[in-house]
Amino acid sequence: MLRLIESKSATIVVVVVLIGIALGAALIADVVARNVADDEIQKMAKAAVPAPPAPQTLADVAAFESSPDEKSWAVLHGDLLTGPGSLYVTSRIVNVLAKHDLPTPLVNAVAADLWTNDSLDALRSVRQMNVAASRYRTAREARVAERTSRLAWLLLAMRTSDVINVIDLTQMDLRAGGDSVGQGMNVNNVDFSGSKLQGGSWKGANITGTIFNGVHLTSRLTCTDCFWKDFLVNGTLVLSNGRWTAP
Amino acid sequence: MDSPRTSAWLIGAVLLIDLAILPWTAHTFDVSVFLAHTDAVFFAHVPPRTSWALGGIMLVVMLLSQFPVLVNVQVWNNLPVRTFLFKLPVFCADLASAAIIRALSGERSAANSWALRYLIDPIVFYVTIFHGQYDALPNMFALAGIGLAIAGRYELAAVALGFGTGTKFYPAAFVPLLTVVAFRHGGVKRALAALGFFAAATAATMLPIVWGKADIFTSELDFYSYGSGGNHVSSSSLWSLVPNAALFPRLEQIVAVGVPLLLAAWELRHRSNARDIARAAMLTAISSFILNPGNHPPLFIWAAGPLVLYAAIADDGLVSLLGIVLSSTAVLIQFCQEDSREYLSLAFGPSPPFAFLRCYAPPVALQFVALVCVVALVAAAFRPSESRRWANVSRNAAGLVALAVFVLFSASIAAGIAAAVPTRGHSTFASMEKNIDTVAIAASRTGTGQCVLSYKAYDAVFFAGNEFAARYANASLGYTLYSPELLTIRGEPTPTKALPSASHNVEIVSINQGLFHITREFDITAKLFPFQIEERMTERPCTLIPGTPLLIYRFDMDAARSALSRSSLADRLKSFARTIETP
Repeated sequence: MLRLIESKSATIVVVVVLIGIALGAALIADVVARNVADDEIQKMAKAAVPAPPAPQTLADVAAFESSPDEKSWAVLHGDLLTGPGSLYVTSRIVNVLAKHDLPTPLVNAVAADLWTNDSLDALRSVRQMNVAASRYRTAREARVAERTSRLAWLLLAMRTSDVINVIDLTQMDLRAGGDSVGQGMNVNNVDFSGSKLQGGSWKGANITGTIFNGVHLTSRLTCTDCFWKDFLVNGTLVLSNGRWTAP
Repeated sequence: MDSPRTSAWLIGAVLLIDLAILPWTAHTFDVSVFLAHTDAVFFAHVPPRTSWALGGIMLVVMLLSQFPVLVNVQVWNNLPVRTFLFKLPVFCADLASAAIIRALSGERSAANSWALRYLIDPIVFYVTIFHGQYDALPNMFALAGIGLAIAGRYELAAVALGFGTGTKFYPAAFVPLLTVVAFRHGGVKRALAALGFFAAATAATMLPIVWGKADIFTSELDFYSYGSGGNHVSSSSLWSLVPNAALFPRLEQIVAVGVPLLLAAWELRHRSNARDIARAAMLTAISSFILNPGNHPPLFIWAAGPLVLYAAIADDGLVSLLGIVLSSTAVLIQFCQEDSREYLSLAFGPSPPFAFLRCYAPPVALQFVALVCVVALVAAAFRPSESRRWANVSRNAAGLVALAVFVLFSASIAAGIAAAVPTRGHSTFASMEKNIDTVAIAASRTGTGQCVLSYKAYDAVFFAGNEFAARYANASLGYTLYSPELLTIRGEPTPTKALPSASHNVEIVSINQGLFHITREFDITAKLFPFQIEERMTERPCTLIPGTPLLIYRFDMDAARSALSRSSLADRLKSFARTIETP
């Protein structure tokens, strides 16, 4: 009987201790969870206010501006991979690409990094520069418009198929871009209103929600086997008065 | 539940529910990877050990489970049938585990209820019946090993643990305990004999897999334990509660290995009885996954068998109850890490998630619950024995809680399946298999201006040197952003403009887990034929986007399968025999 009582008591003590531990742990877990949540909120708040670029990044941007080549880019590439996005830095890099004839592999590498670092800032900067350049008629400004047009298409090519945010590419001169324009690209929710576009044949592009109000086409623009709202539209569509229609 | 008859009826009912659920749910990625592996053996004549980094027994059982697909090729895309066949061996393994627990139960009248308790353990039900993972097999061998050690059959126990290790490694954690028990009860000779038998059984089941590819094997294990950067700690490992734990994952792994050694050493103090052995085995099992930095929720099943075995031997309802909490916590952590819609798409195509299988608490809070549970388990396991009456009460209470959790869980699954039936579409397996049969290798750069590209695919390029499979494979170079260049492939200068190309917008994961956006691909199949494991080429000018161009191999499983389905069954069986004989 005594052993029974001892055994029962021991079990009760263990159970009480366990309940105590469980309650304690629940309290700790709650505090930790709240702290984690607070940290997340603080991080989000910090993210909402863009951090100023690091002094080293600014120095590396300056080096790239004065000598835009693979070597200076390799250094800046590291900064962009590790540091936060900054419209100021992005616009300076875009400015370099807009004003220099750089080797295509270098332009591609910079475009890929710009996209990874902050795609919306990159496209915003490209658009501003392109629109400003398009207003002038000088040969120099025409070259800027051409380079930024190529850059815009490169950035669009980087847009993955699941992205649906609205992109403003209105009033731009987007005639330069080469054979890859519209090939498998996701231009879902891209607004081309009032822009100048090269005609040609797009293929396999996602054209859901793309806006073409008042676009100026150099020639007929068609889209073959393109996607509309996740569905493949078999055959060829033609852009006419801002709308895709069957020929 | 206390009556053996009632428990037996309940076991029958649970097994029927299990069998009814088996075909309809499975973890899409995990199960697809295994099914694609069997397809590669059956339809591409790929030697089974190619790209296999788990145990030999698991490989054999898995191939046997899918053998009907080789006999009737049309079954390949009938996913409910394939899933059922795939899970059947582990369902049987759980039955065997329940039988072992029943046989070793301390209180004979409660033997059936302990067997039932194992079968309705939330993590057992989740992993074997719902998810479709093969951990029930090593579990069965581990339980057999522990049971045989308790019975004094140390050599047989060692063979069982060897087979367990040859299935999925972790049963090796029980070997120190077995050695100590054999030493204390039978002397040095029996301890050494046990070690010898273990080594022989492990070698027999593992050497055919590991031989000649130990480096690939260890790098795979490294990846699963510490992530691609070697500094990852899983959010379901207890180490994730420690600040900066990701700095020392290898040290943490040493602790996970050290605990079983300490537990075994602790048993040197006396001639352990059944309860001592079962308790040490339970704690060994818990430490081997929960302190593993690469732990993930389904691995909590490693503890289920030894835990219920200890509870059955000690007739300990409190440990049983804590086990249910630990198992339920694991399942809850899983649904915080991954959406439950992952489980229906093989049978039903893209489907809505299960209404009740979702994240209910922050993972960190669940980790704390797991920690408290483990601490409580240790305390409970070392407390004095209870009275018979009290043991009955606590056992029944734990059994009822387990049954309630089982009913809730299985009802949630049944509701999810019922909701998916009306919207049933095409299985996602075909597209998953296409992805799995795509092998992308990131470029490694050397040479002047870093323009020499090296690609090493290890045995991931399973059609290299495989005459049959190579016919259905193609190779391409994938660029994130392309610019014209001159490639020199196998000494032959080739302008990329001259190659057939296609534009894409795809994300491809390379074999070292890098994610690449690919916008254009150039077909170089003709240039790389016959395929090799390693390739080197140069480019002028250099692509500057790191890792690109990717060398992408794709295998057209549909074409290979169609070709094979036209041959006779006898020819298919002959081809299969030749394939498994290939070293």
